[in-house]
Amino acid sequence: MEKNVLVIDDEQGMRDMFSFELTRQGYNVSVAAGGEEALGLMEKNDFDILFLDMIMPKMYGLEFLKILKDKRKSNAVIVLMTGFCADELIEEAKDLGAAVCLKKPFDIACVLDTISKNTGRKGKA
Amino acid sequence: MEIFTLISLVSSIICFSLGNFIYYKNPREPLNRVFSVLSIVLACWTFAEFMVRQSASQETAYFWIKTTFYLPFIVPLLLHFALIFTDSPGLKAAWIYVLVYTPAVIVSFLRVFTDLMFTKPVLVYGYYNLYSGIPDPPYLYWANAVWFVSWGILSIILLTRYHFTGANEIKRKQARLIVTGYIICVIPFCIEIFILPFLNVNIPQLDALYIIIVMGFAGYAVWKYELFVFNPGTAAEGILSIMSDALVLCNTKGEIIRVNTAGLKMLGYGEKELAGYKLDELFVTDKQVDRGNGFLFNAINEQNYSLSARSRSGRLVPVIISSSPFKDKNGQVAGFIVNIKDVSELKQADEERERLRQQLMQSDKMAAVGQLAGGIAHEINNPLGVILGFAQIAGRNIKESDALHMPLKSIEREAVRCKKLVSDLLTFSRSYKSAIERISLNTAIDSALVLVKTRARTQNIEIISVFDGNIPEIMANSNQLQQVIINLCNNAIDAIPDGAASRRVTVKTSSFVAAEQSSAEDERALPQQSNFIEIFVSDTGTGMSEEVRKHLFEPFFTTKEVGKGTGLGLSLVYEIVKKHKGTIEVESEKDRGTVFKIKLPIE
Repeated sequence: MEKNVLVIDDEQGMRDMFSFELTRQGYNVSVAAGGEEALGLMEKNDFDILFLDMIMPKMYGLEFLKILKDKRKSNAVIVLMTGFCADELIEEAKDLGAAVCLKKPFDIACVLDTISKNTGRKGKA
Repeated sequence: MEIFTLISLVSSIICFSLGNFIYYKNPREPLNRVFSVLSIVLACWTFAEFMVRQSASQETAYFWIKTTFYLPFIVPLLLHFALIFTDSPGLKAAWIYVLVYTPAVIVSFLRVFTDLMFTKPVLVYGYYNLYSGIPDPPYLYWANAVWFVSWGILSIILLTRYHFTGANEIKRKQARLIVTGYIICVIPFCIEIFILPFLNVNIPQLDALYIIIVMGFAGYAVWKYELFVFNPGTAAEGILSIMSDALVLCNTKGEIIRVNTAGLKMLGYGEKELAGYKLDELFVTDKQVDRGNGFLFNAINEQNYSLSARSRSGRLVPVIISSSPFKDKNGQVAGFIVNIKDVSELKQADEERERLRQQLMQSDKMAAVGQLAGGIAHEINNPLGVILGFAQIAGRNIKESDALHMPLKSIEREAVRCKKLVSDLLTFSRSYKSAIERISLNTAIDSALVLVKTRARTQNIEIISVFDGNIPEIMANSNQLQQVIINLCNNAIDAIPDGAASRRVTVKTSSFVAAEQSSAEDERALPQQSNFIEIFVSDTGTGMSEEVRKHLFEPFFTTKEVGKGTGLGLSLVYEIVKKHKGTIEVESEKDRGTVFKIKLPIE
């Protein structure tokens, strides 16, 4: 079964890149430009893995994680992404359920590797 | 009246007058007080002697002898006087007074309540004497005589020593006079007490005469040198010897007449060594000097003239000198007073201030870069992530033979380079936040060296670690200190050129205890006890120029070729060391290598 991936990032470029490559790798990719949009998508779909940007306007990654934790709805593996963030915040995010943290800019190979490790499925390439 | 009786009376009057005179000249001065008490005691004694010699009966003479209970206090008073005169440090201790005066108390008691110290007076030459023979048993009498003489000799030794080594010249001359009086007194007294009785020779007792001699010398000293009083001469002498600035008196030819105590101490000369020296020979300067007239005239024309004084050991002391002429009674210039101020401390303070200013500038720059780094990192990393990501995605899907493969790989490579720069900047800005814990420095460095060794091996460079196993644990951020070691080692590896014969990087730790400074030479150093751990990272590389060394810790300063270094490595090292309240120093010799020395406080 195809794995569902949700990418939450306010950066258009990031969303495009994830969608482009992960779709090519055979994943079902959904993208959201912010936390609220993502929560909306999660109401309708089950996701296997979430790529969540830490710093976004309106809703920070941490807030999103808190809401998610309160709802206890999702079983998705959460991968944090950050361009620049204090170590303490990353620790806090991990306490809230984030499994991995990728520091931007990351190698695309690293993203594919993270997905396969955490969902048990390998991409095409 | 018999002549010796008369001598006793005259002696009594002289002593009484002199005692009062000296006391009223300056009643507050301890030396004057002791001298006055001594004079009054001597006056009483000689008066008692006069009365004994005047006595018509043995009982009367005996009564007057019994009144001389104060007699044993004469020698302790002489010793006390000598102790004060020579500024003996022992005077601060109470036991000195006990030691000096206790025998006198005992003897005084024996004199009054027993007949063990003297025999009953007998008529000799028609009058009664204070001493009419040796009492039976004689032991106490002899013990008393020996004690009397030894205290007297001790006083003479003290005063003689002062005459040769004392700081105040006028007092030294006075000491000579007083010693002369003491000796003139003690020698015949010894002969009279210790020798004549055994030769069965009886002469009239001349104690009163001796006393007149001592007081005569003391009087002469008063008259000639104004002893025991504060006058402009002694005041000037005192001021000269206690002032902290060096003062040199020289004649109109610039020859040294006198140097004060501070001057001798500063230059390390003995008191008489400089007499006759030319003032010019003491100083060194690189300024233009009128050799005909010498420094002296420069010093007069330009007050606070700055130059160096050469000490006896050849050490140069930075000083400023000022000079002014002094005139004789006729208004003629008789010589010059040259004031020499040691400014080495000021100079050191100036250098320290400059160093701190530089450090402050450096840390301002660091703080600015730190803020900048944090600010731009996020903004750059996102677009950079997209560039790198797409370049990699595209690169993976294009064959190496494709014409676009090379451009895509170039985009990827340059993006990676940017990523490295931003990453360095971020590490830099993060050095502001740190988790401090108790760590073993050796362990932290050892694990950092694992990473370094991998790289060193590829370049055939040996990494040697020399750890002091006794260094204590310190409060520090382990990751940051590892970063320091990695950065320093990476630089060290880069500094060793490919063809170099010696290919070694050494990392060494040791503890360092800065002992308390105590030697006179090091008096200027801060007297503090400090404990540090030292880390040395040395290489056998190319070394660096002074110019490079100056800018070494500046952010973005690099000597590496484009793309190889971001210029942030050593800035980061500097910043981390500073955060740990440590210091970093560099020593480098062109083509010999470089040593970085980091000092971290233990607490």
